[in-house]
Amino acid sequence: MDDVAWAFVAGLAAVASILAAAVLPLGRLDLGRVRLFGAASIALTGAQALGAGLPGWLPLAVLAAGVGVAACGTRPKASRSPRT
Amino acid sequence: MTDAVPGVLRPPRLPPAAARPAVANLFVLTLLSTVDGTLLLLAASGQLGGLGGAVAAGLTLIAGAGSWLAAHQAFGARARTRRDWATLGLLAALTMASTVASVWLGARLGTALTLHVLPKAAGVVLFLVAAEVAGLRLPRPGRVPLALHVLAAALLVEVALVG
Repeated sequence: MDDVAWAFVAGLAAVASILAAAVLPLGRLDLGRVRLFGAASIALTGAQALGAGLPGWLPLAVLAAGVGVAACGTRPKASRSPRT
Repeated sequence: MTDAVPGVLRPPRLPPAAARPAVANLFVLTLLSTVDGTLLLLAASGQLGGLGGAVAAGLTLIAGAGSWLAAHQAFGARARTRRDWATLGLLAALTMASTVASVWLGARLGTALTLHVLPKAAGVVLFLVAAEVAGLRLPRPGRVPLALHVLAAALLVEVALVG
């Protein structure tokens, strides 16, 4: 595929993530952690631009890990059943 | 409209004026990377030519964590109206158009010229953007973000090298 086709893919990914953020209930997601992992993935993209031989999927994997960690880390604790 | 349906719990409605700043932030944060040259430089240096790079750029640069927060603040805490969906549709159309235009321009630039400084400057700019996303307060000489200063300086050096 040429660059314009990949631009469509990038734009679709961006639009899909915005729609998900607008529609899905993100109240339990720790967005601070998402920010940190997002910053790490942007920095990795920067390292790739500077010539570091990193795999292309690494920034995306870091971001996905961030979303996963944020979603799991804020899951409310299971309520204790009353001791009998 | 349907608020009076008994027994149905709906998200609380915020006054439309309360969501306006978040909507403006959402547009700025989403469209900034297509305007400030970051995406253009990535395309010029050939960093977007693959599924991983394209999706990562879409999820981190074009609509990163800042856009997600703004979208959630603008639309997540209330019932969405037709006007909200129209706003989201407009944002989607603008994002697609500006992304394609920016990448097309960057790809043409990359094939027409041999860039020496700008691809490296794109890396530095991305590090600065990452620092701001992480919460660091970078200096803003003349109220202009430091990343734009780096970009302008790199552009001048590149023009001097080409000339």
